[in-house]
Amino acid sequence: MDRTAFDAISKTIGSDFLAEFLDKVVLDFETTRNGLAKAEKAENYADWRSHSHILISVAGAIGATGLQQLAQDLNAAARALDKEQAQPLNLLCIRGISTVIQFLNNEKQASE
Amino acid sequence: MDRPILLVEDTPSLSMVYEAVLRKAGHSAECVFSVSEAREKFAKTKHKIVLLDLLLPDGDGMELVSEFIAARPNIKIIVVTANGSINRAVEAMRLGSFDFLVKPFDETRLISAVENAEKALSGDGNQSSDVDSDKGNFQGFTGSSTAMQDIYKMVRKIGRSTATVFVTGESGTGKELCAQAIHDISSRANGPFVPLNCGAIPRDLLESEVFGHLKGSFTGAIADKKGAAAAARGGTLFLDEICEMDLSLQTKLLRFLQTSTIQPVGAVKAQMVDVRIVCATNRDPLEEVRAGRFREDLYYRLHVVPIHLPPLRDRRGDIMEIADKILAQYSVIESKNFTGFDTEVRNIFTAMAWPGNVRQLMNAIRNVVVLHDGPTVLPEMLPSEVTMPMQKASRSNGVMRQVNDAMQGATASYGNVAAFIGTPLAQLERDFIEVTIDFCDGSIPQAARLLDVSPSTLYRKRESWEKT
Repeated sequence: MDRTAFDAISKTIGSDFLAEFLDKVVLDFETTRNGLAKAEKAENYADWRSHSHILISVAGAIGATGLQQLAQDLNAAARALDKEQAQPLNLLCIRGISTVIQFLNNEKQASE
Repeated sequence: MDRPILLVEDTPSLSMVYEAVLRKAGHSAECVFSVSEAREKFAKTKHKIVLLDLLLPDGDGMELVSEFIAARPNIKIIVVTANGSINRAVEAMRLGSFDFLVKPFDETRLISAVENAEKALSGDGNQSSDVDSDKGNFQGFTGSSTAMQDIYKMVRKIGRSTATVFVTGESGTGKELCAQAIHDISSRANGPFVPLNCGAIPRDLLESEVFGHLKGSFTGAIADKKGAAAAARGGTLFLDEICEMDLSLQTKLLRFLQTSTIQPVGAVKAQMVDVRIVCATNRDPLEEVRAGRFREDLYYRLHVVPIHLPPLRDRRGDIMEIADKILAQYSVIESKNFTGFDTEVRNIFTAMAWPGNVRQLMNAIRNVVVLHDGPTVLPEMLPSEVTMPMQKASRSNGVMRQVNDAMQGATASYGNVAAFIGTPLAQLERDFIEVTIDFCDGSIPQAARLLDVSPSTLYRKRESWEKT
């Protein structure tokens, strides 16, 4: 996590709305995680691209730079219809999402 | 800002981020999450700026771009897309979007795009009277051909956007003039216009010219130097002959376009700059990409709004319009009394191929004005570069006519062909090929087409003749 980026966006959102924002981010990550798992199972490359696209955006917005990079790589692999590359990246993204959700939950608790 | 920005983004957390950033910068936003909601809200509220994600759950954001612009032509739509979908953003720009943002989110770029849209909205009324002048003149361009009218329309449309523009066209077609026109009618017109010819600067110095350097960063860096990108802050940076840029520098330019930051040579920290890029080349940029000399990702970054300036030979109707205007201008500058062109000169000018385009036409007229006195430009006043190709074409036409006549005659009787009897076949072939190449102004591919052989055949034959 890029702590500076996360703190900057938290400041922009403001303390009054921070908890609501973190909930929304967690929800978006959970939706994406489920979407990625389903896309892999169905080998649906369009869905894979679409969910990794959202992951790039959300991870990037909160400073989850490592996850963002993984999502970018996954997106590129899905575009290239490269299952061999996409599958391990998908697993890494799903794990990465769980780690970031944990971080966000901790932040939410700390802010309350 | 009296009206809220319509924010169309289906990911709730991102929508909240955009709204918070806009609010912090003093704007209000109305958030919707789907195509149908966007249509409904748009119909009810007279939004002037729309921030639009292209990937929406119930449809394609691109549909909204066309619909909204058709309903309100002055609306400013800023599309948001992922890094891997630049081509979609390009498509949206061609449909008339004002700007595009690439995810992940960048606060500075978002605010800058919205503020530019606001400036453009406030300037729309004033600009139309300035630029919609007479049909044949536009921001320094002359020509009322359909091709040029289309260019004027395009420049008017995109001048008010902040999108990157890629101008292509042969040398002398007015690429820099086009870039200047785009700048002059944009909301950045009060900012600087900084042209940089990438082909004219030694490769080793180009990075420093574009991004600047700090004192002592390399031998010869005796003082801090502001690069062209920083000098163009708040304005437009025109990168001419962009295809001449070294691949390593292309990578740095790409980074600059992605992050809006520059890092002068020797600097530790990057700095933000708000610059619009217009670039130009006289090469085929896609061909450069295919040949590996130009980065594909940079090409797509830059090729948001392409403008191709037609060569003068493709708009012959404009030639005398331009010539008359230039003659009047140079007559004043050189204190001469030229008032017009002789009919024969007009015919020569209109028939000429003008490989150097408007620049060549200007030089030819200036040459006449400097060396002669008026009031009429006569054929004998024309410089040899103008008269020579015409004479050559006329000679070639004559020879070709003789050959054609002979060939046509051959079908009716053997009499005309008889003139060639006694000439070795190899010699006849050689003469015929050389005359055809001459007829095609030295173009072997063109001659090969006329002779229905491959160009390599002609090259090979010529090579063998040189040896004998």
